[in-house]
Amino acid sequence: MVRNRTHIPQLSPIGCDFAALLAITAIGIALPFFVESRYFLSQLTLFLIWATVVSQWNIVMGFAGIFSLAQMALFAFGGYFTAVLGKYFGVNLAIGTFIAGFATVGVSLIIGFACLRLRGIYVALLTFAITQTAVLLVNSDTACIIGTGATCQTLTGGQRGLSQFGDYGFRELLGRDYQIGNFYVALATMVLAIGLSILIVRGPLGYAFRALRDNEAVAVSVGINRYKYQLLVFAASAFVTGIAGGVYAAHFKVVGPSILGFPVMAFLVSMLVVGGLGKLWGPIVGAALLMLIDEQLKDFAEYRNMGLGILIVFFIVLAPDGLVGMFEKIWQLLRNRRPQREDNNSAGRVAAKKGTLQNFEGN
Amino acid sequence: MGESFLTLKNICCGYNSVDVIKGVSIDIPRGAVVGLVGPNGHGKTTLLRAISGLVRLRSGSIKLRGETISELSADRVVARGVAHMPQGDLVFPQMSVRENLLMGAYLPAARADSAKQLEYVHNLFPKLSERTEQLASGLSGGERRMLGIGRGLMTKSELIMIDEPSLGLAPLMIEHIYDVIRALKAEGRTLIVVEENVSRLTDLADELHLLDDGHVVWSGGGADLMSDDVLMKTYLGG
Amino acid sequence: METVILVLVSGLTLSGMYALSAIGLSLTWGALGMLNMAHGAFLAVGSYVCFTIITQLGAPMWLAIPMAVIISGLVGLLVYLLIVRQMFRHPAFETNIIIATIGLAILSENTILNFFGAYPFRQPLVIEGGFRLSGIFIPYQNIAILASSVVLVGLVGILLGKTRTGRAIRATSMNKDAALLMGVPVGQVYAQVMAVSGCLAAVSGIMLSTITTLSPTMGDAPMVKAFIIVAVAGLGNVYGAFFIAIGFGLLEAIFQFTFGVRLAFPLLLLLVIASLIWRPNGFFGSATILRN
Repeated sequence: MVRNRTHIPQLSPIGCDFAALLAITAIGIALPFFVESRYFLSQLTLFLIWATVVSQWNIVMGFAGIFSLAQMALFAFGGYFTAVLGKYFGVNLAIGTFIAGFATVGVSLIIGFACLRLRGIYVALLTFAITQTAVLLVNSDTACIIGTGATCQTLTGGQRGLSQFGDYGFRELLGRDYQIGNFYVALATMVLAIGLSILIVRGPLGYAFRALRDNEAVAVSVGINRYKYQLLVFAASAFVTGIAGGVYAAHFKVVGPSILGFPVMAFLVSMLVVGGLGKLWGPIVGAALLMLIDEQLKDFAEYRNMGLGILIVFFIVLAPDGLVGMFEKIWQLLRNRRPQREDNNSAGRVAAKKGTLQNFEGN
Repeated sequence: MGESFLTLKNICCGYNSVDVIKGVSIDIPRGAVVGLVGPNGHGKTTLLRAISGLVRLRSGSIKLRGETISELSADRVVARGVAHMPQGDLVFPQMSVRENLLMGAYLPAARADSAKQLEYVHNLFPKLSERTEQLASGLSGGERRMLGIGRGLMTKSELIMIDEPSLGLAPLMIEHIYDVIRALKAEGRTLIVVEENVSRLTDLADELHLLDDGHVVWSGGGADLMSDDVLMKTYLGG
Repeated sequence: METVILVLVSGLTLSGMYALSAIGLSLTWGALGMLNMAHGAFLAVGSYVCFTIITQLGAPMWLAIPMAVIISGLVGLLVYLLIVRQMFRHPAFETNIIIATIGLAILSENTILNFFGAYPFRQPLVIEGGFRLSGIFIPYQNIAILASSVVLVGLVGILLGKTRTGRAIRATSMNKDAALLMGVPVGQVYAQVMAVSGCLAAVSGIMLSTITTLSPTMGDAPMVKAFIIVAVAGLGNVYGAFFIAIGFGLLEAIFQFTFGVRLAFPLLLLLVIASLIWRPNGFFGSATILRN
């Protein structure tokens, strides 16, 4: 049941989102000046990286409805690519990260093409299999590129991983406070990621996917080409993900098969789910909360993954829209109106009137 | 006309929180043949699905023989003697014609007599018995329709709901199907038929309900409807 | 000739294990429309339970195996009742159930890890000895696995084809609404399917553990293979899954022999991708399931 909204002059939804992003950016810029501990700053940097990756995964899975389980593989690819460029080709890591973004787009497009004609579950299966294969290939990498025996260096570093490939050079610039440099790079990446997300969700791509989800036949008849948009989403989300991989490599100065493993994927899935799958701000909320929880539970390392598993199941069964979803419902209740359900005539509206953001509820 | 067999009281239901049926109340006596007519997309199919339990009610109630069935899952509703032959037939594609028909006799009540029922259906639709081992996915549209109706008949239900019996069928076949419906009526079953072409129902139906935009806008006899030019033009395309 | 026999034996053994695992997954996929990422966990749970029953309770093999299988079936049932059933109503069920089962898999693997540790225990179920065929030594173990697979697949086939329960399962897989209209208690069918799937996975896992060793993550790789087999065969087509499983096991053995263990799987994967592009609905698949 749709009620008439009283027209209160306010920012359009997209304006609200960018305002929020601006606020977050401001906080982020100011943050290092208040943080003493180097460890804490490093953890914040990690938070930014994870929030980036999860936000892009959220776009693919939550908004576009593509069950891709290959996000970690893309992130890892970006990291490894940057590291390999730095180690074997002497490419400056900043440039390498940038290139890695594009390279990751390439890989993502390949995966996207492979999945193009597949529907739903098949995509999940295929991307899962691809990720597992990547894990296998890396873990069993024993072909020496340089040196032999004790000095053997494999392309991916095998189970040991890659190290000593350089960094962003902040040590020279900032001395003892070099962590701050990495932090700002990560911040910039996350802001870029969220900004991109906002544009995708609120823009024509978001409309298209909502239309496709609500009623595919109508959407197609209006000229929405599922294949084209699917590939676009794959490409767009891969760019920042690859860059995030590069930032990870530069910050931690090591990339290993652990980032492809189940524990890391579990961690990110938790963030996705706890924050709220398909919610624009879900990834940030989820990442923040999970890093906090993880920090508190550091002493119970063995039970960490068990706890993650329980958390995932708990949330997805009982609160599938995550924390952001819960906040939204509470907000609606407080504003004394019925929870507005998703408008399910997106396809019709696209056909009728492109442009006017009327009664737009976004998520 | 006996006491009410099926009572729909102010029911509202739909899909994705958009209501298709917006407050419908109908009383159907035992042994009656009731027709649901009206323009497409205005709720006739949804109404049948609400009765059989495939669609949950948002409000209102449905009572069968005095018992409220609106909270029951579809399989429980069916067990109380309701057969629903849906639009689109929903045959089981990888089962043969025979297996499909036997699925109709899944419930214990129908299983006992399944052999006899099978013969009955084969006599009704000889074309179907020719194809008894063929997979349902390989049937033509008309054959699928026959299978859908035949399968529904296997349930030996007292209440029979058919959604668009003549859709996609050749005229001869349509006559045949309506003969079947007449025979069922003679047996004393209660029938609800959704039909686009009102003229087919005029002699057959005891009462017609005209559905528009999820409401019953008119109820009455078939002859009355056909002779009312305003109604015919407004809702049924003249 | 010798290599042929070797490859055949190892290939068919693999096929047998994969067939059972894939059939369970295909049933779940077909009837419930869910990708069960906890399938590998069922494999592991079955193996570890069997191991525990034998070593801790001292039960003999013929008792331990059925018990472990039944327990896994109950776990499958529990998963349905506690998790799947709650999630059905949500429109994003297909995505959410993947995540939920991922969570379950993580929980299960780490519970096993905490309980048993990562030590690669050996399943005390080995049948010693073998016979010679044209000079090649064929272990009885493999024959036992193959024989059990054939028997179990046959049983599942009979269940599906000849019993009322089987008809209900098949009908539900083909068209849930139509099944409901026939009076099929679809909710019960779901529960049954998940229980059977759990049982089949357990058997597959126990077999696998007799050839390799126990490990908390032992179900991961077989699960991926089961997924692939079922996808290539086509949505919910159990018989198709069986045949593709045979082909897959044989192909894997051939590839392993020709290209080495490391490259075998990636190459298989390429083949799979190609086949899925050629036939996005699988070889024997038909129209997609009607999810209400």
